[in-house]
Amino acid sequence: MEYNSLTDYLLLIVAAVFVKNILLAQYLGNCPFLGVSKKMETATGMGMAVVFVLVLAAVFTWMTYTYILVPLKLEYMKTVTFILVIAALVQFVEMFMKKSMPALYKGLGVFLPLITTNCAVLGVCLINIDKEYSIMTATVFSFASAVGFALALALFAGLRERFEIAAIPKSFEGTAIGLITAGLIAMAFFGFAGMVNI
Amino acid sequence: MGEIMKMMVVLTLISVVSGVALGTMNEVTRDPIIQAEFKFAKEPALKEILPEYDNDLVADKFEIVSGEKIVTVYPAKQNGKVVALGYESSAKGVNGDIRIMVGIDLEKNVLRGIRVVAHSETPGLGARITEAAFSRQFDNIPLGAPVKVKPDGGQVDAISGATISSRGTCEAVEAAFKFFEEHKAELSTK
Amino acid sequence: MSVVKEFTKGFWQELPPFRLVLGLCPTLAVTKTAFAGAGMGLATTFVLVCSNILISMLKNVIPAKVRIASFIVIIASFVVVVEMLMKAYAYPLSQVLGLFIPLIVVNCIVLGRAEAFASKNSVIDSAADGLGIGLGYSMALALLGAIRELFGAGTILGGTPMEMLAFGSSFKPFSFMVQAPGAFMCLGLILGFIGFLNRRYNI
Repeated sequence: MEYNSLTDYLLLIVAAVFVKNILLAQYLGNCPFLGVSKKMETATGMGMAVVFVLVLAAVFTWMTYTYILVPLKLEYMKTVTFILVIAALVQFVEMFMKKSMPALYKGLGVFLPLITTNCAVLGVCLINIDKEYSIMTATVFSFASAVGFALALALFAGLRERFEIAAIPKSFEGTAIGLITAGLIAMAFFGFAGMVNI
Repeated sequence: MGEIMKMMVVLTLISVVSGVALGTMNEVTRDPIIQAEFKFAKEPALKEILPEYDNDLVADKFEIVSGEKIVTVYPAKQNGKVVALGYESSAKGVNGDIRIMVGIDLEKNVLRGIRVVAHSETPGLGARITEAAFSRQFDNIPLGAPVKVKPDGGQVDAISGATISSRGTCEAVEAAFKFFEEHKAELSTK
Repeated sequence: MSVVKEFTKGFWQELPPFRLVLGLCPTLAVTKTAFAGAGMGLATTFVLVCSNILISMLKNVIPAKVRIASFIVIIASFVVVVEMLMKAYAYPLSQVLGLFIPLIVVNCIVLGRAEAFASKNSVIDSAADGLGIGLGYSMALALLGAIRELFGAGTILGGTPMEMLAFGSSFKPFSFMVQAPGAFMCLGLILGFIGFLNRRYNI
């Protein structure tokens, strides 16, 4: 499908945020999903950091692939190159933020190192290439995917905060009940299935 | 000097070794990968939807540029004469592309049949497009005829609960017909 | 003795997805059948063992500051090797696992073992550690895959020559189990069960 008009892009965004939510339907980025979702504050911080890095990473990896790897016929090096680009980018963003945006750094700084090993970032960058998206489509898709990630994370954290006052069977405390709750959210998101095709 | 130099040297060395190793690996596995792709993804479908053939499909295959896509066409020959063509076509399903292999009979000018080669439809619902009961409905449709599901006024029984996936399959067939019309001249010369 | 200990700890005390809750993405994504789960586990094992051995050999050469970057390059290279080999010699499996093969790079288990174990221990211990953790991971994935497959598709060992129907042909598959919500819930229930064993029998 060609993405030309505004409608196409709106559909792509709806699809990436709700229908094929990266966490709940594509299973990407589960480690931070369960790791940093105990409090709403950390969940939104992580969500914002992922949106920021994922969009940048998608643009940089797309350009690296199209302008360096393809001309050199080194397509098979994409996994190695992408992870290095992402790692370097995260380091750079961290240094830059610390120097020029201390307020933002205070909020997002602790989450940045965790993002390198967030498979949602590398996953989306690889999907962009696999699906042969244009730079514009790739950027929009990455942004929407990251928003979907942040949304699911925030929803999940909201529920998880209530675990504090709920009577949970002792054996299920912690991750076990978290996974079952995630299953319920995923089921709710199933209601969007088939709404938009991408 | 000293530490920074060592860091640079070590990182560069590791990257170079990795690059060389992967380059060699790529050379070694290139042909096996192409063969495996054909054997598992294409050959079973082609065998079912093409008539008897006595040629090597891989050796005789050719590519046609159609818009932005490159379509690989497998010609089935009997005694050196091309009797049928097999190629892939695709359309949107619920969760992603539905890719089908079509077999075009050049003597009777009909679609011999289709096989779904790749899809990501919902298990138990849309995924049933791979079942023979559904895909058999496309056997012997005249080339260029409209292919639609019954709710759209066509002839194909949609799978209950999976109209979108069924419609996607029909669209893929129509796309295959369109490709054949557009490239008729090219196809007949090869 | 220590080699045996490093090898066996991966089967229970440090069983990755169940006890350490690491490497969840592939655990949830590819365990639609026992075969796919085991395949994913073995691919990860290969990367773990190779990268553990190489990193342990190079531990005195790599400067501390570029340690993580070097580990990532080494791990990523082995991942690409696995990806190519699998496409060439186990094509159907590579189609099932798809995107999750390159994503072994960011599987926390692999980088975790490199950083926490291989960069501090001898080559033999590191190899045993990688093999143990990897095989434990494979078993866990195969188990989860077997359960989801049994209810979600009604088959045992589907996708292999030994495929058989568990409940006869009139069984209507509970397809929820092979989709995302089923994955989360099934793993949640297993973790709950392990939590129960832990509390009741202290194991």
